[in-house]
Amino acid sequence: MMHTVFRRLFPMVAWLLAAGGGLAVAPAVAQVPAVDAPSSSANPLADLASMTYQPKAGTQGTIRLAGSSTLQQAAAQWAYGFVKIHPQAECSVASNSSEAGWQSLVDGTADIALMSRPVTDAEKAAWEQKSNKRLVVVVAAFDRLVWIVHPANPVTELPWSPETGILRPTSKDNAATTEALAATHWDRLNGSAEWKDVPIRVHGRGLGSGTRWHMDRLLTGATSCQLAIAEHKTEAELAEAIAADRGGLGLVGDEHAHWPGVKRLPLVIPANAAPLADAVVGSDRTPDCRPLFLAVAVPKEGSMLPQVREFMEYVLSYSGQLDVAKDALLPLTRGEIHAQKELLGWSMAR
Amino acid sequence: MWATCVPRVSAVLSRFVNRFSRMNWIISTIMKCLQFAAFRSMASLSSVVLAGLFLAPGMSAAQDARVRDTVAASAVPSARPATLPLGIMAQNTAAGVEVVSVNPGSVAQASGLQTGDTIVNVAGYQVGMVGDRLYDVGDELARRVDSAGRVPLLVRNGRTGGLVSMPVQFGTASRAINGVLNAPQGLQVPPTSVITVRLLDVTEPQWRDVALTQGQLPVARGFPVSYRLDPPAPTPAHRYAVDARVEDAGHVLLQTTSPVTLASLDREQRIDLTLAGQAAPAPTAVVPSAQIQQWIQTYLGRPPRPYETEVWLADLQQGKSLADVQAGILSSSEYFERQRSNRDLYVTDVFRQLYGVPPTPAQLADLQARYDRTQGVRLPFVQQLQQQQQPR
Repeated sequence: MMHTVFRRLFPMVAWLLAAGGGLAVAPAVAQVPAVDAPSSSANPLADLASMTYQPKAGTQGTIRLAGSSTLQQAAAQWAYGFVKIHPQAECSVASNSSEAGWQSLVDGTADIALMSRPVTDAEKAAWEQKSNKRLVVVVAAFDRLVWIVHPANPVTELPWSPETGILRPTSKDNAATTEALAATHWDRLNGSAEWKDVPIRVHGRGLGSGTRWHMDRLLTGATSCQLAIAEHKTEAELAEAIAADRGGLGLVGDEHAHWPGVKRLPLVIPANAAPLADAVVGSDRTPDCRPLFLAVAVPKEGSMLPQVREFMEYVLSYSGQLDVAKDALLPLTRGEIHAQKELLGWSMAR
Repeated sequence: MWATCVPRVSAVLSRFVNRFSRMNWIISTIMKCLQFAAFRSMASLSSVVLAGLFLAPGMSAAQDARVRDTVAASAVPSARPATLPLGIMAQNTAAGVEVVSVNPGSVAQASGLQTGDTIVNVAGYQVGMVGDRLYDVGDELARRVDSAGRVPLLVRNGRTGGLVSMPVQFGTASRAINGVLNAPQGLQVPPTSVITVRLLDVTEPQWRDVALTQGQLPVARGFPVSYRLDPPAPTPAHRYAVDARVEDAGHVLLQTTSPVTLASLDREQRIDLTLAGQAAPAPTAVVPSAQIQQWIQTYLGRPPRPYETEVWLADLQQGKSLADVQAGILSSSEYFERQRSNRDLYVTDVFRQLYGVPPTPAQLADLQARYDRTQGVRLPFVQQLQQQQQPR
């Protein structure tokens, strides 16, 4: 919030000086900081109500979406809403994983990849080499993640830092293993001597999952420490495993974290934490808010397919964000939507 | 003295702004260290006040007083214009919004903006990239413009590097649509009812619910009620219309019999609307909000979360049906997770919820095949089942 206040304060001083040549009496204007970020109790869609979808007549053609199961339901709602307005268009959704969605985009069997993790630099580089198209990756929604532990665990919060995550590896060596972790047993996190012999056992989704990508990063921060993780196919299985494991620690989507027999834990983010290197442009959400991406292939010397562009317009409108909220994901703010349109090269006209 | 003083001050300011831009990351860090709860609550309160008092461009204070009870004066953000077009092509930077080109005949050109200039702030509110956030100049113009269509910009001149305060005047020729909503005489609707007036794009026949802007107001003092809508810039060759409805708990009580077509959107116009219908739903009618809450409780095993029912009611306003809402909940990730993300458990439970009985082995085999045909995408699977009147 202070960010917003400073944003007002500095230019206001400059404006007052410039307007009056530095000598005029400052007008008695009480500048009020705007509130752009939604609070948890306010309807985040209220501020988007004027960002209506303005359809283009005669839209037709096929739009193929593939990727993350986290975005499956939102994608299905987008497809349904879009085709309802444009009956001449056809939308297909294939749901598997971020990894598979990316492969479909690379293979040319999808127009839009649904990704619950960012596209890596290696993937981008391979894309540039192989494809004669350019890649545009925008955020379409956010998903709040929450940590779960066994209910008997006295831990009340998980302190986190962008550098070393929760488990605080002491080495930044790529070959670092769990041996390098400062926190290997629960007493280091819950402060209880009774838990000094209880190792922290991490439970997560499979490697192709975007949730897993975020979990690795939240656990060990910017280090590349490799962890031994018990993998589970679904969040239900993961939650059951935690409920049965006194030393278990797992990460699930907030909207699904109502499993019996587990305890939810807040992630404590230091106020002075530097922004993450891959923070979403135009957003200041905390790291436990996972961005969900759409990756789109665009011809290098041309523009996006008209029906794909129209679809993206729909996604980045009130209607598209309403679809996001229907599956308990977090819609974008106005500022975030503008930033994504900027990435797509759209909102240049002012 | 002024002649020598002003350029000097301007040069000092220019250096200050340049330095400020370079120091953005430092400021950003400091700001994150200084997050006070008091500031947060004060800002929330202020924003509500601002939203409630918003005046559309071109409206005088007297006009505002007159329409205070109208639909457009409600504290619904959709009633305000989304953006005000300056008529520039621009690039967002950390120093502000850099003007790439200026459209001939635009507000920007009339104000003196030139290619290469940078808009540093709008009425004192910085625009462009601030730290890692984007503050859109169009949004800021819509927020800060006064009732006479004026708003000051602080601009760094692209040629001299000097800072200038540049007043911008948006056209006072309003394109507002206003009029009166009439209902059958003596009709009393529940005090919890809400009036919605929408500007629709009706270019294609199926676009019955493509609302470009809308205003909402609780029914407090009965009818007639005056309304005002500020339309966005029209798309060439598109056709527009206005309609209105009165809803209570998602149930449409009164509405215009058909949308009133507009000849154009390029001038202010008065469109009076007549509502028809009944003051109360039939006793046997399903009340949408109650139905949605019941589905959430039954299918998801919990009461609705804050604004969850609102989201689904907003979906109905977008032209979706209650069946669409039911399909949305039954295909949600949460419902699927409750069935342990297992195909067989999921299709069995959806069948049971829709038909009240578990599927026979033959029906289960059919459900599994249907689910696989939709490649595990649940929404079309549920919609197909809903369309089937009787289980096979």
